[in-house]
Amino acid sequence: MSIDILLQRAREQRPSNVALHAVAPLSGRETYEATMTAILRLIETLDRDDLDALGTPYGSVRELLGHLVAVERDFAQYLRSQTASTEVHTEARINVAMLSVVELHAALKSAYDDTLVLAASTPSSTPVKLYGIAMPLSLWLTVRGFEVWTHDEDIRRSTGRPLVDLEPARLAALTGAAVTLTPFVLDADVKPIRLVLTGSGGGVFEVGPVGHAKAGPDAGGAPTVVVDTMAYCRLAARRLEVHEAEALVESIDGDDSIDSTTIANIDAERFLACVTRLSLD
Amino acid sequence: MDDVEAPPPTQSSDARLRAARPAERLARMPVYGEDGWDSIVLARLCAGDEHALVEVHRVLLGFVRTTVERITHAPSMTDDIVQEVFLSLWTRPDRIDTMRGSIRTFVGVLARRRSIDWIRSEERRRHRQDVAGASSIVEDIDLLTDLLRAEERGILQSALARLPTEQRIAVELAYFESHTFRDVAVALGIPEGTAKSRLRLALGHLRNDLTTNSTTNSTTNSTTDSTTDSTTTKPETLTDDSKARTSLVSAPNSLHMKAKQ
Repeated sequence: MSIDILLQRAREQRPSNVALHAVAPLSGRETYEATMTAILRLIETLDRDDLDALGTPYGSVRELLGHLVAVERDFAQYLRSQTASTEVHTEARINVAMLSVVELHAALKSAYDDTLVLAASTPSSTPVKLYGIAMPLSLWLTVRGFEVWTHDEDIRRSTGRPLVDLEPARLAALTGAAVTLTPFVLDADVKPIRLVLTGSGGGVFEVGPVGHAKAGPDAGGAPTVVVDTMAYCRLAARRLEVHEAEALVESIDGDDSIDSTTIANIDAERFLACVTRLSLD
Repeated sequence: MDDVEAPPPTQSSDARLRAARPAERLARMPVYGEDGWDSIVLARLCAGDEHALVEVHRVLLGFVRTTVERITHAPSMTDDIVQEVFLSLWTRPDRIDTMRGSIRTFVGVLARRRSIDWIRSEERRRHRQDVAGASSIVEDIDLLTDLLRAEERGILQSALARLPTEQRIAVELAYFESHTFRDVAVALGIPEGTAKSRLRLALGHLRNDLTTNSTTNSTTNSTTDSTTDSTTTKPETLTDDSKARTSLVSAPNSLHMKAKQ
């Protein structure tokens, strides 16, 4: 029996490169709202000791929340300016030393509410340039959701709370944002990769540097990198090192000679190292 | 994506990784296929990765083909049945629980089930022409079906675990791996006659073990079906566990002796 015939029939019965039981990703606004709602609920459960817990990239949980509030205010300020050519970058950590949980919660909620109101009155395709990066508002909202989710996990790790699984539609949105942005952080000479993201929100993608000629996900010629969806997101958020992502590599066309394997491993590692440049945190 | 401007490059772990010696870098990157083949392939199938289907096909085609051929003895149908097995794996990989069994076990069960389905349909067709000639085949198929049902419920695994090691290995080679008596004998380094005896003993133990379960079940259910001889029980009447087990344990001789001889 020819493998080609099997593949042809397989494609007729189930589309390739699409995860089983795939769900439509949340929109940018939905992602942002869901993630903000989740972190606000988390903040409500914190006590004074939790606020002083160390171990976040910004120091204590209190300082991390200060950063979150500042960025959210930046974002709202930009949307208020309504001018794509005006770049706003005023992030400054608010003075958080004396703030209580309730006050921090209120500050973040206030900035979040401002953003929601402003986003509602701005077309989702409006280009937004923030921190040197210009993207449509909808993608920016997803990216903001990504960053907030990363900090949600930061707080949980620092305060000894268990990490929670994301619902598939939100994870699909975060994964989509990470995959969409990956080409922009790849060095021009990084080989395109056939990226297989496993688990909820996953799928198969061909990802290469901006402008690379797409061979199509079904075409051979690109090493396959298999990595868990959550691990990929955490790589993009710089919360995992490449060697911690437990990525697996398949050399081109299944060629498992030592040379092919070695080359595929090096290509894959370069690719994943570039992904950490996304810095979605 | 066209609306996105490239962000400025930032310092990352990339530089540190590049600075590391190649050997160290490679050591951190596991090569596909070293461990957990089943879990990885399943995850890839669920993600929609065709390459995983190609991989499974490459690894298990021979096993599936042999399993189908040994049951159907119909080379003309083998390709179709084999293809159906792999297509099932592609369309519903989430049905496999690697905690309960490997992909190999799953496709083996599927191959046997599809083969039996085909034989049944053939049998029904022949039955219309020659009723008397059908009985011996139906008996074999009943036994195969019962084993499959027991296997799916995990009952067979439990019973196997209680067998003496040498008998369990013999059964696993013959039943799960679809080896012939001769293959089993070679693999275990024993004469073929000893292999046959060992399998007879093992199946006798399994029969007794499953009879105990069956009796318990049938007593609970207050039915008299557990004493029904399998030779008089047609597949269509096997509607509950106790009937299935009874059919298995009261069948004369072993499945493999019939299926393989």
